Amino acid sequence: MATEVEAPLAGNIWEVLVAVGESIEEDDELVIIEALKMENPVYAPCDGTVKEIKVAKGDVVEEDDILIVIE
Amino acid sequence: MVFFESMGLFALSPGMVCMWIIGLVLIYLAINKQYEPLLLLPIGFGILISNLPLTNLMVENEGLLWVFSHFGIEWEIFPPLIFLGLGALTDFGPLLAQPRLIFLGAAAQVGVYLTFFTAYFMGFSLQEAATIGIIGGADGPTTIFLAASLAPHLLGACAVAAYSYMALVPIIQPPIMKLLTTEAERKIKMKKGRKVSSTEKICFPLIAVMLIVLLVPASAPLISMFMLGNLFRESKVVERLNDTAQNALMNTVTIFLGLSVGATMSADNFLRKEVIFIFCLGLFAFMISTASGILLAKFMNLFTTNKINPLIGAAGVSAVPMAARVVQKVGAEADKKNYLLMFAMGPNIAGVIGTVIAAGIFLTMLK
Amino acid sequence: MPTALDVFINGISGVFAGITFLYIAIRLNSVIADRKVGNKD
Repeated sequence: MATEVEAPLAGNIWEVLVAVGESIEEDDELVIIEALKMENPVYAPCDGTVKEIKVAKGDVVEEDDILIVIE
Repeated sequence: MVFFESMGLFALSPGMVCMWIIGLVLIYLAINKQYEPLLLLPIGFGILISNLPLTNLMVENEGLLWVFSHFGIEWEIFPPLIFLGLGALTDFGPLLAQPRLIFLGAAAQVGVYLTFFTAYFMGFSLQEAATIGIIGGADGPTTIFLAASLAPHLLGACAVAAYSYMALVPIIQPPIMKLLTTEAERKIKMKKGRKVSSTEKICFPLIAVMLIVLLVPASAPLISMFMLGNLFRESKVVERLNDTAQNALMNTVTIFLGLSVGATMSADNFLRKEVIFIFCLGLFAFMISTASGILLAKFMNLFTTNKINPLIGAAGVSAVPMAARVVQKVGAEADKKNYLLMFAMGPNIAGVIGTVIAAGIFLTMLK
Repeated sequence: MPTALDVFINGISGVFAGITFLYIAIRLNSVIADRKVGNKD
């Protein structure tokens, strides 16, 4: 029951707010993407545990790149 | 005795002191409030020093500031060079992915024309009214470019108005955006546009410049520099030129431009009641442009199932990327998972082109 | 010198006409560019 959280827009990873194994709820902030000097939070689409974090601070991401996998 | 006579202190006038205050206010706004500091700081400083007596800074053929002003602004060099840098900074991807958004950039120019009309009926000449109207395009270099040609005596006031309101976009726009849209409309999530190939991004500046210059030759200085800069960026083979255009060149020109604009604002030039009207009309222009972009988006929604979030219409006001950020913020207030930022960049960039076309048409008809 | 109304009408229609042509050019551009690269739209 893995859910992939995709980047809703292109930008730089400003901050990763969760760690692998952390338990999260829907609408928690997972990652902040910086684009055009604005901080854009990416929210959890469901409850679960963080299984994988595919990006690190400073990475450049495109729209739809997978950021986090939730179980 | 000669030394005392040459002291500026004895040649002061109240008007000059007034302009110092204005210059210092702009510097304060730039430093403390971070209102468009790149322009308002040098403009404020230029006002300050050009209103100190007996400096000969603005004496024809001699003064330092006169030389900057004459060759940079009167000869229309600085604004096109700034556009070279802006083009290198601009990513047309969001616009090419959803081309219909370009009409929102056109709609925002309605503010320019309504303000033009209003200014004319308030007693300004056609040329002056056009320069005041173009403030609504929210484009500093275009405003300066047009003013230098059509109404040089209004250049300082119009430039300061344009840059001030650009900085105030986060305050001016949201009330209008909320007034003209329903909560449901603000929540609209837009479908992603198509992927844009790099070939497309290289062809676009070439096609755009040829088309626009064929239609409105008077816009050539601005639009050709804009598209050249963009080509530098998208070709990816001239990174040195791209980097210079975006950074060193743009920064250099910005310094001179700001200083020169400030230098044109002498006391007798600026302390007239027309300037108050200009500031009021400038605000009016920004507001109407915001509204017309939103309204066109709502109108377009009547004819399509792929709905446009009307908020992005506000980004047709080409304060790049400030207006797009405002759209993102207001959209996120309605639905925090709605990422309108890149959608808003489409109209934002289109607005720049729209304003340049509008300026070109004014020039063609009124020069 | 044209009248204010002249400028107003020419101006607004000019901007919309120019933008419409640009819109058409963009649509054509994407079709041609995609064909050259061999992508499916």
